[in-house]
Amino acid sequence: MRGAFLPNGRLVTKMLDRMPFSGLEVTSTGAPAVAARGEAQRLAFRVAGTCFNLSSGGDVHLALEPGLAPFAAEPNANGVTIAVAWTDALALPTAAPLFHSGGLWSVFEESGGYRFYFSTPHLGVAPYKAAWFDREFTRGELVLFRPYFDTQLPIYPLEYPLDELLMIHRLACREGVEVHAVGIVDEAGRGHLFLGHSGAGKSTTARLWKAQSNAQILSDDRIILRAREGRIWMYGTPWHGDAGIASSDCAPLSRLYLLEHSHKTELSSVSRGRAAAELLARSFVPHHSPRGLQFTLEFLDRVARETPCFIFRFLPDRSAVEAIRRAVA
Amino acid sequence: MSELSHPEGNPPENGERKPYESPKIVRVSLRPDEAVLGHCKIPGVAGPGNSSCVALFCRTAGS
Repeated sequence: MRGAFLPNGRLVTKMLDRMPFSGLEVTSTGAPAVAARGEAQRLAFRVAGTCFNLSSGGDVHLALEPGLAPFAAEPNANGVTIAVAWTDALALPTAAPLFHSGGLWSVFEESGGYRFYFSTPHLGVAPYKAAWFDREFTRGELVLFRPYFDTQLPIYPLEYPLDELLMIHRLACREGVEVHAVGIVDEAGRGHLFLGHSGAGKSTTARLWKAQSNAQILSDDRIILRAREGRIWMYGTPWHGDAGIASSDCAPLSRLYLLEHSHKTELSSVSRGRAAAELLARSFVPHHSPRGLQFTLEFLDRVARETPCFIFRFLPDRSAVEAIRRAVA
Repeated sequence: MSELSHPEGNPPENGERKPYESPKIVRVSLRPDEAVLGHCKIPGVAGPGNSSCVALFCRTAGS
């Protein structure tokens, strides 16, 4: 698919027999059109300053998932562009993957870039979609295996985990790091980052702050760290946790906390080296990419060097919020 | 001197030397299944066409 964004909001496209960058076969639509179909579509959302542009020739009815509504944006040609199409033939390559997640996805080196395949046993052997991206993750093509989809329904083609995979690979191109954390901006504008694996208390922490303060919560599960204006910033993401909190705002990072449940609430400082290691253990990084890993390690070292880090053992009550307030007073 | 020689932070800037502490190996907990975004929390619901949930709008993994 080739296209150009025009001021009137239309994407002029021409469906090709082949996806131009990857050589993958695609098929033109045979599905009946419904209202607003048959016309080129484009959608965009922005997370942590990066704009993701989706386009289709009109046969794929694109939609953003509801959680992305606060992140909806005008398409921006400087962002990541992804062309979406149906395919009626999709199979895993016979070559060895660069990386297999052990679950939904695997990635292969193909056509000068990376192609991700997504499969689940309950659908069958064939992948339900595949997405190719260039090495900088600025341009991609996504095909959906039509037999598995209801073509009458709107589709968010970057559904979990592809949107996050795309983001973490883009971040690893010297842009930043996504971490497993809740980000809270207190009334003074200080950014508090509480890191934890599943079950560590991120959503609980978000709820406690929401109930006991006027603090802003950026996300209760996923935060993106980036360097800007000589310091580290934390950004909200649409990828929320059990508390369902997601904001597109950002704030300068002031402090890091490693969450641990405990019978009493207490803070204790940790070394820079350990802070960097604990950050890495709670980061989402492209494990198959030496270049991406190298950048991530350097970036997290900088975060740990510039930001005080604490182990935060806490009881899930008022004392948890009060202890942080006292520590920064 | 390695970073591990200063377990409680950066070397002092006032010229005082902290007592030597031998390097330590600290075990850090990893969750590979969460780190690689490989699974949904609810088994068997990822991908399209699953009637047991709104899989296309699902956001349950790794939280």
